Amino acid sequence: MNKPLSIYPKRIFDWEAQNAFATFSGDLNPMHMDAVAARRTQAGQPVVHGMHALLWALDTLAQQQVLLHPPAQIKVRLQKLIYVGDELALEIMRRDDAAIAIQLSVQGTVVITITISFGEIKAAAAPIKPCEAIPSPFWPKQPLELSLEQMHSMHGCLSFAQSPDTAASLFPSAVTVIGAHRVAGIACLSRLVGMVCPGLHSIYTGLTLQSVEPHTEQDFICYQVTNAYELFRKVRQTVEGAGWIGVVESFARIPPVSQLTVQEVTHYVLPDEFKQTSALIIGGSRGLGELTAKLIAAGGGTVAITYAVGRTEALQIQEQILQSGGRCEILQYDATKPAAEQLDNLSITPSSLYYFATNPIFLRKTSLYAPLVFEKFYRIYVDAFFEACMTIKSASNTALSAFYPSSVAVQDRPSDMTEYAMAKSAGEVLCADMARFLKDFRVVVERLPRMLTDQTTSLVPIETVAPVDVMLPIVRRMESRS
Amino acid sequence: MQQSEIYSKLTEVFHDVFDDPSIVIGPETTAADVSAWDSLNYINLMIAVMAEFNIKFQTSDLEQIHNVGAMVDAIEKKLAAQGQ
Repeated sequence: MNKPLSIYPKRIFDWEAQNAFATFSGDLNPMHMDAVAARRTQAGQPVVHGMHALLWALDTLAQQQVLLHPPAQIKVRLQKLIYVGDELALEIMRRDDAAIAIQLSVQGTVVITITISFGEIKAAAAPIKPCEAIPSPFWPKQPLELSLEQMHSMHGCLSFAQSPDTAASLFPSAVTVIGAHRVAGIACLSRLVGMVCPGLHSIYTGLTLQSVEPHTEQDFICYQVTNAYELFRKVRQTVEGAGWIGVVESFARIPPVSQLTVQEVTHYVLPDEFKQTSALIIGGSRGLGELTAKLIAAGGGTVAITYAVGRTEALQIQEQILQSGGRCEILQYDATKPAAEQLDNLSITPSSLYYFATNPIFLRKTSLYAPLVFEKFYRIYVDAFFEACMTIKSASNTALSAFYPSSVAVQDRPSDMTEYAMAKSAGEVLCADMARFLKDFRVVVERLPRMLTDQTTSLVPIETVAPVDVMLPIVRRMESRS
Repeated sequence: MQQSEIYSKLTEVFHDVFDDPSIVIGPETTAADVSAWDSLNYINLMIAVMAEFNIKFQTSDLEQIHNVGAMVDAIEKKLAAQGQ
């Protein structure tokens, strides 16, 4: 591993900074601003704007008198997500008269690489004149939700969200060296990806910009999509304006996964096949928990679904079930907190527990094994499962069947999933002993294959199994009670 | 196209995508052998491979590619299907 030449003071990207950049750039994508929405993305929680990190780096280098002149070229690769609250470190890895190579890292994990090259700045291009092919600058107030096909033909102009003069309060040193328009232009590129194209379901991966003399009377950038690759959903677009010409690279993320509706589920189950069932579904507000609730309700059973933060989603599922003639209550439940006080308000006496509580599965890690990561998984997949089962059992004298969703990752173990697999494996052992030693307790453990849920969507396409094909046989096994 | 030619073209693609002219690939080469080979660069690599050889992979093809040898086999099959 190369040692850095220089290390600079770190910066915590907190909510105050996040909000300030969002206002300046106009990039209000929910992945950055809304914790409930962000949990349904691959990030699992709000992420820092990549362009914010880039501008902080340029500002720091200017402040430290490393960046003294506008660069001829900036090449940026956004490798991993930065979460709000993360502390970012800047290290110079290589420096000579021609270029500076920089790494931004969080707890030792490189998240962004930047290469700044020096040389001749191109002369000013002719001012961009709005014409038929280039619509007038417009203001997106909500992120656009585009299909990949629509992205193919996207082009236009995008205004700065605020006057470039505002840049001086956020990135004063960068403004001094590269100019307010160039700073505002980079911020506008965040707005381009996060609000326009790909828009709502986007993830920034990189850019290459060459400097030109800016036209300071024009407060917008122009863009044109040149490629939208179907297999990987990768989008490449050229950009021009605000003193830059270049290429922006991003991905069109797969939108949050929708499960079958109650109406659709009725085609899979018999109307009364689960009529004896009274099921508590922890984590029932989305994903496999949501599907399980609908299957049981459609089969005549009574369900109680829990949510940690997704109350709106839980209400929507409840509404669907009630409108179809089913029975459903909702309950807020946080698996990191003690079970007893949270289940006090449960009105049903569960005969079945389906346990889908989970943390974000795919995490940024710095080493093969991270004890803190394992601790978090263990809390949810082992301790909290046991607590939930024992709380329900102690509250009633009825028999309880519990479903414990393990994973094929226990045996296949993809990279970066050691702690997850360890915790699930420990959960399997716990289940086996609970079944052996607890009276009136039955547990169904299944190593589930990879199915398309919010947790499992990825940039690299993978074959997945339809959730209903996996969950319906499991629900039937659970409810057969034989 | 002979496998030797595929390897030759593929080596150039690797050099370009990973910005490292010293990379030497063989049938057993995997992501673990190339330091900059992460999920993002994997996607860049596959896009560059498809462009270089003028072929298209499907999701099911990607599942079979665990090392460079499997990648070369997959490229060879695609080219053969095109009559090359």
